[in-house]
Amino acid sequence: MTGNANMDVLRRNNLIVSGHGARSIVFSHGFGCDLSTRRDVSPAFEADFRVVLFDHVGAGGSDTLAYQPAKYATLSGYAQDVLDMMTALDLANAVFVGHSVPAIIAMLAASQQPERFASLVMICPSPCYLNDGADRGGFDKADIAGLFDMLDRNFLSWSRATAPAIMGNADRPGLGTALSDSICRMDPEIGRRFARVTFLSDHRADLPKLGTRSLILQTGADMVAPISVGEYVADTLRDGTFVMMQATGHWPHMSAPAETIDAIRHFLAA
Amino acid sequence: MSAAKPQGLISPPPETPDELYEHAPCGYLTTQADGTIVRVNATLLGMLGKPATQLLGQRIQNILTPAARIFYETHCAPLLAVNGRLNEISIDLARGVDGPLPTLMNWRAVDDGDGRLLGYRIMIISAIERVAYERELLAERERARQQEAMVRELNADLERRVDARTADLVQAQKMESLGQLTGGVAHDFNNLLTPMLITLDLLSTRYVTDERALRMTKSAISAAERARVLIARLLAFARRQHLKARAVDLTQMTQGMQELITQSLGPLIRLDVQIDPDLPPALVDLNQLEMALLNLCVNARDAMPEGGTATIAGDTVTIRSQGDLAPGQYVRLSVSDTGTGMDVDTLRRAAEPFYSTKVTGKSTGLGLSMVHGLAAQSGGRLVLESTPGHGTTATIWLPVDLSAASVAEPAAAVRAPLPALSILLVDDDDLVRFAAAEMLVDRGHTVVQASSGLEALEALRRHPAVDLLITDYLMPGMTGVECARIARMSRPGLPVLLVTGYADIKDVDAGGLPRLAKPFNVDELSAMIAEALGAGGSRPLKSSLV
Repeated sequence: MTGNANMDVLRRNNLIVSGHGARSIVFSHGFGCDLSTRRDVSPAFEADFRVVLFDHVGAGGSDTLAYQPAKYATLSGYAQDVLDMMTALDLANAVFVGHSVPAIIAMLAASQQPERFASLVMICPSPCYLNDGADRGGFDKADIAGLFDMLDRNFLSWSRATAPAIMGNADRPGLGTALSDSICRMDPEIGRRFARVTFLSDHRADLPKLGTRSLILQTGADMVAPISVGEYVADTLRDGTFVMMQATGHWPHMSAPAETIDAIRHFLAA
Repeated sequence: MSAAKPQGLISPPPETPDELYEHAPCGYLTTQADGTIVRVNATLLGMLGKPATQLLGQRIQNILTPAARIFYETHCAPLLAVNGRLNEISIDLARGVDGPLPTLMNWRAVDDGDGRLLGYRIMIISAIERVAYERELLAERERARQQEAMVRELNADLERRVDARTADLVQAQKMESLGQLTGGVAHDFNNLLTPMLITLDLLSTRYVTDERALRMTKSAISAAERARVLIARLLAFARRQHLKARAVDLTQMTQGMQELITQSLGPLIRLDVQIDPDLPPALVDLNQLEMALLNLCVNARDAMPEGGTATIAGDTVTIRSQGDLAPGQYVRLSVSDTGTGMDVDTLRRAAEPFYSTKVTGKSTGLGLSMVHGLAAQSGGRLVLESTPGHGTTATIWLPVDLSAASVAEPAAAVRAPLPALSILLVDDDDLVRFAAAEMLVDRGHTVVQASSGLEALEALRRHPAVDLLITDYLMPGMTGVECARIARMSRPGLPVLLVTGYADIKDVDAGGLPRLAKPFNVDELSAMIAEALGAGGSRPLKSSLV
């Protein structure tokens, strides 16, 4: 990859690198948010790791003009971006922490280029949100249709409120300033498409293809990814370790950062 | 409206705490930090149709619809964690059999003053009507989006078509300019070539006896002959060749050429002929059309180095009006190959003179130019269609001959030797005139030269015994036709032979006079003199010219 192509990738995905260490750890944000959701967890690794944060295209400080509907119509498009970034930064044997759908995106990327991934940390992952016979993703089609409807309604008003922040890439505030204002910036149109890709995908068949050592961090009372789904993921992966956290809800890295940091450290030390 | 205080109206009493909380015009509840509901007002219970016992102790996520739970977890919870508030969230509550209740919610975090989260205050407004309206708005927006996409696509299509038309127009103008330039250059070269050919002809037949000199002269003749062919092609492209249009039966013509075509195609290529036997005759110059067909077949062969099929097809089409073509019936003669094909740019330029994709030396780059010129000069056109990898079809459109059935090629008449004649030779170009005079004298004729029409008429007066007038057509002051017309006033029936540089006169302008195209050699000149003598008495100039 050329220097310019590298710069394009770094700009496209708003890559931010910090910390020191021979090894690298990459944090990926979940559906609905951007890299700033990692602020309570990622600094804890800066002493020992080169820490990489990024935004998926359409979220946070990413280049929304880089959004191509055909490319991002499946999670594979996002997985390609992950590989592009790792190539641009020349990452090998990295730890990848993915929350929710990015855990699945990372799984697809690691299956393609395993040498780049030492291990995966999957927080509240779900390979398929829809119920399918005995496999209970947690939601039926009407539920997901209701979600799309609700997203549209909210984006209707949010798009007005968030548009200036999204479009103002040139004078985008840095990570350290006005964090609360920049959280969860998502281009509304891309957001509604991303929701469809996320909640209508079925990657159960891809789970057994992953050879990378993986940690599944599951919380109680997660309304998006039930415990049974987390257990299913751990059981189906070739090298999956299941850890049930004390934390509740879908965002343990925000609601219980200390427990999340400990669980990751413990897994990496083992 | 009057500014006076309304009479008889009494203000409501201050709200009681019970009224302010329980019966406020909005739902209201309080949760602990984990979302467990600890207080709920009567308005919300009424909205949900549930008793307080069913809500207290539940986590708020449990009274959301499944869709709302995902939305809450993915979008609201992280915002709440960072900002401590949510404003105007559109979210659905579960109501059991009554279906979802769309609401708008505001959330506010409550802490103990030291930053420790204690719980949330939540205000809820029913948004049934608003959501119905929002859905209409969203549907409308979606329709607008689709229409915009459609308009954008239409615009793009229009732009593509305008671009293609512009490119076609530019190409047409380029071809026109090339035609004018080519025609002009070819005309002047023709004039230069005429004395060269005549002189070389005379030298080789009469004056050069040394064998080596004769060989050199003959090689100069063959070079000049090649130049003549090249110029003929240039004139063909420029639509200025001398065409003898007549009814041509394409079936008969193709049959007659089949052996030649098969040989040209070679053993690797199969020839398939599909011509409707009832095809009406086309109005075109037979010899030129034969050359054009052969040219197209050679192109087809070159496009199929690995072999394939060449198809010659013929049909008719009737059009109202299309581009430069006049309305009417046309015969179409096409040659298709199964070869390499051409991309759009190559296809557009294919008929340009000297544009060739073939290896240098293998092609003159004039084949398609000549076919294009022939078709256009004949009142038709050349249409090229091609897809890379799927072959090319070249179609010549020609007007149908409406006059009569096709005529067979007249058998060449056996010519008797010409008697010695007294000839008045008119040409403003001294080189051409001197050479032609030499040639005529060499054949035993007596020649009187004139360099203009006026001079010729004066000479005719002084030499009343002139048997024949040979005149150039295009001359300053008076054309050859005008000169002939005036000459015949004093010498009715005087045989006239018109010499033309290129097809710069239409048949009607020539007044039916026999025409000899430059450049010419001795035999061609003698043949045309014979024709002019034969036509002289019996074919007067048409009345319009007399």
